[in-house]
Amino acid sequence: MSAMCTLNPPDLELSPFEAGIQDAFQDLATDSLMSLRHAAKARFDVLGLPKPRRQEAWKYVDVQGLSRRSFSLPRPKGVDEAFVEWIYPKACRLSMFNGRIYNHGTCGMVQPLADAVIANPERLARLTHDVHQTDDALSLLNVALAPEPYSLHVPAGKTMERPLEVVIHHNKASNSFPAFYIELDENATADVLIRIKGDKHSVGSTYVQGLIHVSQAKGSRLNLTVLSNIAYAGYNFFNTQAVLAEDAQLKLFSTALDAEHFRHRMDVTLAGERADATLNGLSILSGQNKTHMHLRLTHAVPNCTSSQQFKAAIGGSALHEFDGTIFVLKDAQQTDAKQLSRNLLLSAKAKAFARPWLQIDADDVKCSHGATVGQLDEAQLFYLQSRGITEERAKALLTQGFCDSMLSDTYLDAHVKRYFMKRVHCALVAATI
Amino acid sequence: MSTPILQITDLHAKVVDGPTILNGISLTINAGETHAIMGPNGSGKSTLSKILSGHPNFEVISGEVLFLGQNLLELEADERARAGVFLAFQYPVEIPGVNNADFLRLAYNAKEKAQGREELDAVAFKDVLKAKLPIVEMAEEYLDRAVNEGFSGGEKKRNEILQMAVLEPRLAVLDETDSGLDIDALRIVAGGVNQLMNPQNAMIVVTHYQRLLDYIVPDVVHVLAHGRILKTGDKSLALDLESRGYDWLLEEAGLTA
Repeated sequence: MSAMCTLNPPDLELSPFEAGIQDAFQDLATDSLMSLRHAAKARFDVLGLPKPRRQEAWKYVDVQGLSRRSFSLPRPKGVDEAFVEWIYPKACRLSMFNGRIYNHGTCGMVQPLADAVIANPERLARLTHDVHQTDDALSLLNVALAPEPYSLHVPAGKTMERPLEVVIHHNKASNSFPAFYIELDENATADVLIRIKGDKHSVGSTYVQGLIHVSQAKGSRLNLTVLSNIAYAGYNFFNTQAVLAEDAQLKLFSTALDAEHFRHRMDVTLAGERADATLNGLSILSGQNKTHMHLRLTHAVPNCTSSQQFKAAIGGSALHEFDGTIFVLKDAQQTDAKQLSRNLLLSAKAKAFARPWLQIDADDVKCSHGATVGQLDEAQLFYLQSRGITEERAKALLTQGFCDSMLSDTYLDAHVKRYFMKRVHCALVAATI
Repeated sequence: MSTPILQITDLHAKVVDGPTILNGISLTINAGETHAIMGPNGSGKSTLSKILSGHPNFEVISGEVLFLGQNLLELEADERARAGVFLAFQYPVEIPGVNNADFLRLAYNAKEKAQGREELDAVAFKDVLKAKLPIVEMAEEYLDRAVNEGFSGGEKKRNEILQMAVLEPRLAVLDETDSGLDIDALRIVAGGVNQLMNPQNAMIVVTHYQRLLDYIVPDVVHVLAHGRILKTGDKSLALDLESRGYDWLLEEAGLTA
């Protein structure tokens, strides 16, 4: 008798979050992406929700808290344009307000993915193939359920005249599934800025499960900047998945400011020779913020270069995690890969976990990785004080310098830099209180 | 006689949680004077400079240091700087992410404010700064870079003297400013320092070599060994040391090298 009881343990009951997912799965959208959505659902059912106890990558992420909240799809609702402030004076503009997307202009290269794949069934087939490969279950929720994924497709040899600027805004507790599929054909170039922001006064907890899918053909170049200045309570999970063909170049900059829970998983595969990826990140944490930068960078073929630098300034009793792996596959000779995680602790209770990994199966490669966790440099502090600057001011200046040196990279547009520096200042003030 | 710029009396000092380095230093520096401090490695030259500037790694055991008649030892490093003490570092520190011009303005304004004068905005300060650049033959582009980041050894030392020019200290301590300089850079740095000297201020030049003293001519030369002043003389003492080394002085004092 007792043996039979163990077949039905009571903990098989679904959490509110899982029950919500299963409900949503019953009613997948019947658009031209239906086959993709079903493939994602099937893959999710195999993987299940992340298991922090068994999966290293989720060890420090608050999945338990997530599974206790309810899960539902955003309801259709009008967009209040007054809430949107744009950084670029001229851009292709998309905004998402409490989970519903709105297209602000006419940019031929930007359209709903459901429309884009009708004329391009191979693209749908490739996306479906990618779904079968992914090991990140939450990203599949986005693929299956995003109400209106968008596509940016730049044809061969074309340059986007204006950048694509996306603002994802929340002013009340909501769920949202921003999804952007970026496809650059041969020698195409594009600039994409995605900004996630929120209203400090929003009540309740928001859940954002975002996806940026990038496919770069030979010689294409993409600057992709993700600025998260969250402020509201809740979970913000993003996946960026990029595959680069030969001579393609990707510059990705991801920031997380003031986010209760933020995770950005970046999967980048260098699949063609001489492809080059630069991945940078900056996190500023205060209070009880938890930010996770998870990277998987794969050198699949010879002669590619990659560089990762992620910095975090951590105040309050916040926690920052960097978990990055560089995979150098057997054939990827002459790989040149760099990885660095630098963490500045601004308070006694701040925590940083830095886990830089290398897995190298080729024998003729140049790889370096490093991690630092520490406080402000005593020598720098004394140098400033010896010039008459007070200790308090000197500390603020050094902390600012630690962050600003991340922004001095020239590929950040001047408009973005100016906007961003202001936010960094504010976030730092919060972090050093 | 007016108040000396600096008056050190029987100063004993040690590394925090470490050995004693200074064993009773006394010296007086008047306005308009340049004092050279020479001595073998480990004699305490750099320690003395750091103690004067308020470095947290050192601690005074006993003795007194008066700066313009005021007890210097009770001031924090930043207060000393605002009062008019300047240390030119032997190894200037690189500060990535902090703009050189902003840093200089912050330092300048901290002093101006402390002395009850108006602080300058970025535009007005740029003019002050531009006027100082020729003193160290420095190009304007160095102002837009991060403090000392990627600067050569010579550029870092010139940046130190530029800071001195901006802050106009009453007492400047040059800690082995000649180390790592080629002959051209040495000429520029020393030339800059000489332009900044006047009858109201004073300077301590800490150095290993006579060579620097060909350019910055001292009024007084002190030889330091084992944390004490072994001998004080005029500039000819430096020439003696250059030709005879330190051993004879150590023997005279009953010490071994």
